[in-house]
This record gives sequence, C-alpha cells and structure tokens, in this order.
Amino acid sequence: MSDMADMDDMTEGRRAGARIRRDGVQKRSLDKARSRVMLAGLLFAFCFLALGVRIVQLGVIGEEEENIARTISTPQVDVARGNITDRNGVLLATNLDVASLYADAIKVPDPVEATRRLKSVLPDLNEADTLRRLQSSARFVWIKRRLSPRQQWQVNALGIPGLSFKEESNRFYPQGHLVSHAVGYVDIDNVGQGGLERQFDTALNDPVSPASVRSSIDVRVQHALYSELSASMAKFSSKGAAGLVMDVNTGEVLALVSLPDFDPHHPGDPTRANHFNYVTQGVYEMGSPFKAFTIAAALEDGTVSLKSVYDTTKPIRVGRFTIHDYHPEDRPLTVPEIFLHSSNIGSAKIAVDLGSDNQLDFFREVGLLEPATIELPEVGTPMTPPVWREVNTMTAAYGHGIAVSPLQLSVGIAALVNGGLMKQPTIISAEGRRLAEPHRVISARVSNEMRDLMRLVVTDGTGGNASAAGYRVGGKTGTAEKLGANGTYARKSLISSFVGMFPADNPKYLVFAMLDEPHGIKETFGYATGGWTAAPVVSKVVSRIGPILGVYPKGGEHLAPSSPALMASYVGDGR
Amino acid sequence: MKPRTAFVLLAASVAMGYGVYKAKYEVRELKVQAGNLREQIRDDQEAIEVLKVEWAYLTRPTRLEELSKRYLELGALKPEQVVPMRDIELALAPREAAAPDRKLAAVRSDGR
Repeated sequence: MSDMADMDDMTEGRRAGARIRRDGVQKRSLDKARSRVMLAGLLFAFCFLALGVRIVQLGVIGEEEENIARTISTPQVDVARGNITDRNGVLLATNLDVASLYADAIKVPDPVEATRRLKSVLPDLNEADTLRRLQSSARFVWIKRRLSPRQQWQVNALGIPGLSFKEESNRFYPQGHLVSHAVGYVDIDNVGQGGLERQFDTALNDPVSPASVRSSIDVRVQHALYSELSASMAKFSSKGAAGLVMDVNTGEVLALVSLPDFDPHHPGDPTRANHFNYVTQGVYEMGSPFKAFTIAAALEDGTVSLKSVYDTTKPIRVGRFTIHDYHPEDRPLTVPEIFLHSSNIGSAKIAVDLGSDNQLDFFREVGLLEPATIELPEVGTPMTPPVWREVNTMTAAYGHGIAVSPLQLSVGIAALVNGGLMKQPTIISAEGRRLAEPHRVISARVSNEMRDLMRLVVTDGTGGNASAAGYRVGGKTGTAEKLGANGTYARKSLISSFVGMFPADNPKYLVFAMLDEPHGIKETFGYATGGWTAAPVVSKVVSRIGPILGVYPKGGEHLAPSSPALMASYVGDGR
Repeated sequence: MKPRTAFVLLAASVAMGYGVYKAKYEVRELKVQAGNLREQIRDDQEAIEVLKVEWAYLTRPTRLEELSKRYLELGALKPEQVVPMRDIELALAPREAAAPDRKLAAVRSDGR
C-alpha cells in the first residue's frame, strides 16, 4: 500500500512539479490527497469491471440461465396414499381427488330452476330434498358428494351461481370387490383396515414419499377363480367358497378369493362373515389331501415304497374310535391305490409305520404346525391336539384332528410337487426381489412320485372332475365333516375341497378350491364331496388360466390330433 | 478525466443498465411462463392419474367378460386352438411349395 502510494507520489510529483512549486508541507498533503482519490478511483474501476464481466457472463455466455432452467423440476402430484397394483401394474387401489358439490343457498337465485337443471345432469338427485336445501338460507349445504369428473364438468357447464366444489381425496378400488380380501380397505381417514392396506399402512401413508405396493395377484387369474367359485357356490347353495392360485416355484399367490366378500368402498361391519378370509384366516380339518403328506413323508423316510402293500379290508379300532373307509376295497392295497381310493385305513397304517415323531417333524417342516407367514394381517393359527397320541397320528394321516388354513395346505402341497422345496408364500410380486432361501423337505425323486400319484387321482381316481383337456391336472380331493356345535362331526356340514396342480409333468401352478357346506344336487347324484363340487371348479379355472399363464397344452387328453387338414381350417387361406 | 472518456463511460454504463433491466424483465416474464407451464403440467398429470384409474375401471376383467359375451362371438381359448408353429408350417407347406426351405427353417427354430 505504502509502496504504491510512494510511486504515485513520485509520478504526480513530477507532473505537478513543472507547473507549481510549493513548499514541503503543503505539497506533501496535496500529494497524499491525490493518491487517495486515485486509489478510490481504482477501486471503483475494479468494481465496475467486475460488474461488466458479470453482465457479459450473464448476457452472452448465459450460464446462469441454463442453471435456472435446470432447477425447474416437474412438479409432483401430491399423493395422499400409495397405490396398490397387481403383478402387471393394473391398479387395485389408488387415490383420487373427488369433487363434492355444495351450495351457498343465499346466492342461488332461483332454487326451483336450479334444482330442475341439476336433476338433468345428476339423475339420482333427490329433488324435493335438494329444493328444500336450496330454499333454506344456509351458507353451506351439500348437494351431492363424490361427483365423477364428467358430472363435475356438466354441473360447471350449467353455470348456476352459488354452487361450488370441494375437493376431497378418496381411496378408490377400480376392481370393485374382485380382490377385496387381498387388498383390504381403508376407513374414512384413509387408514388401512384389512389386507394389504393394513399390512403396509405405514409405508403407503408415508407423508414424504408414499410407497406403492406391487402385489403378486394377477387380476385375470383372480377373475377366473372368482367367477368359477361364485358360480359353484350358488350351484351348490354353499355358505361360502374359497380359492387360491399359487406359483409353486416362487410361492407367489396369483389369486386369492374368499366368498362371500365385500365392496371395499362400503366395507360395512368388519366382524361380519363377509370380511372373514377363508384362505388365510380360517382353519379347517382338510381331510384327504393330508394323505399326500403322510405318503410323501413315508416315501422320503423309506418306510414304504410305491410297491408296499397294506391290508385295508378291516376297520381299525383305537379306543372308542373306529377308522373306516368310505369306498372299501375287498383286497390289500398298494401305496398308490391307497392314495387313489383315498383309503383312511391305509393312510393310518402308513402313519403308524412312519411313527408319530417322524410325522410331526414332517408336518412341522412343511409348515402345518405354525401360522403361515404371508403379508396379510388375517392369518389363522392351526389347531393341533395338545398331546400327540397314536390315535392322533392315525387321524392326522388322513387330515382329521388337525386343522390348518387352506393357505398352509397349499404351500405344503406346492413343496411336495415343485421338486421338494418349501417356499415362503407371498402376496408381493417376487420380481426383482430376493426371496427367502427355500429348504428341502423331500428329494426330487419323491417329489416326482408325488406328481405321478396326484396325476393318477385325476386320471383314474376320485378327482376325475378336475381334469382339464390339455393341461394335465393332478391333485387330491378333500371332504371333511365340520365339527358341530356340540363337538361331534356334523354329517351334512362338509368342507369340500380340491387341491390341484398343473401341468403334472412339471408343475407350475397350484389351484385350490373349497366350498363351505355345499349341498348335493341332482347333477352330482346328491353328492357334495370335493370330487363333485370343488374339482370341477379347478378344472374350469385351469382351462381359463392355462392360456393366460402361458402353459402349453399338450395332446393325449381328449385333445383332437393336430393334423395338417385340421390346421388348414384354423389358418384359413394361409395368408 | 477527459470529457470524451467520461462520455464513453457514461454511455457504456447507461447501455449496461438498460441491458441489465431488460434481461431482468425478460427473466421475470420467463418465470411467469415457467410457473404457468408447471401448473399446466400438474393439471395434466392429475388428469392422467384420473384417466389411469378410469382405464383400470373400464378394463376390469368382470366388465370385459360381460361386454365380450354381449358383443363378441368369442369363447374361452380351447387347448386344440393352441398349436405349435410346426403344425402351421405343415398346413402351409403344400401351398407355399415354392418358398425357400430357409424360411421354413427359421419359423421352425423359433416356433417351439
């Protein structure tokens, strides 16, 4: 600083020195003043230069403008609650801002005319009521809640003064009651009250970034199962019906139906029967499908082979129980025959040979003793006898004295036919997600044998009605008497079911159908058993979903041979 | 400071000032436009959301089945209607005898 000032002093001094000469003191202070002015001038010049550079920068190079443009983000639509979709992204639950129409009655000039014109666009309007409200002197009267966008537009087009809209965020279920038990519903404050809505309530309702839930449900499969089950439920005048379609290799639930169901827009009283989820919540003595577990465990353990023979001609007496067969055969049966003819005696004898401990261990491994783990709040706890005696081993061998949910049964059966791996059931899409490590419950060889046995039930046994041309269905019928109020079995109250899988040579999907208290009809010769009521449902469902799920139908089962001539009729003129 | 230099500087500063204010007003105008566009985008997005819901509602399987029954003469897909490409080839073969083998081979390879 002082150097610069000295330099200034020198130059200034030389210039001035030519004109004026002053004595020391005066000259020195004058020089000092000049140098200060000069300094200030330089400072200002520098500032202006900086501003100039900045202006050029802003105007010519335009870097800042680009920055501004980049910071303009597309505004996000405020989502009050995340969506729930099916596996293909079809909306199952979403939020919509819905307009409700209200009026400032004082401002409406001609209530009679206004009511007449409103009625023309809102046909279900109560005219007398609306007129009374508009003729009142209230500043706020509801005319109609929850208008559709079209109705809102039409009301706007009427141009009646004094009418206004109020936007309200509303949960909407485009599929109606098709998926009510899986998706659940919300209360008036958008809080999840059942199904996925409740299970993922916190994530869906996150105020910052509400999550979307992509379920494993496929609405097309769901619809096929739903319509076949409701038809069957009506046909056999049943109390209820339930069904499940599951991918046996991933554990994903593609369809879950429980009837009667409810409309998620008007759920009503949650304690009523239509809110009860038969598939996950209800536990039942499932009957014969348990024979599959008994035989699989015995085959795996080496207790029996497919060639083993048991004498099933005489009923077994254990204490006060008598175990007998519904279709007694007058000869010893092989293991496949025991399964095919659904012999209780044979299954009980196999279980005794297997041993109670082995049986219990196997039941535990295939998840029959613990509540199923699935992303739904409604999960039923299985019921097992407190003490496992020999008689329990015998009855459990054919599915009595132990009650499990249809979901548990399905997961267990899936493990028997998918190559022997126990998968965790899930109702969330498995795509892009790490699934729990499956554990092996039976060998691939035994799994193959179980596939064959279940296929035999459909081709030669009690499950013939489950056959679906081309899709090679295998499965097992189940018919169990419900426990009556006094703890005895009610002869006429049945739980009839069929658990099936297809294609049997390499199962991809499991289809379960169940009817609660079906009644026999003429067409079924009065029978209300699983083979007559639930098996046909599985047959129809498989025929409908096979093409949707890309399962290739094979010939050999009531299938027309594909000859060139036949082909020509499909191909038409060949172009 | 010489008068000419002063004049040039004055003119320059006036020009700069004008330029700055012009730029500022333009930016303000653009900001208003951006705001309007943003508003419009939001409206459109909301409309899209509504349309998506409407689409899901109108294409729900329950309704499609009903409409299909009423207006179309289509039934459920029968297994015999699903045929491998190989059979189609056979059906076409006599009519397209002249077609080069390579084309058929290509069909065969991705047919199954």
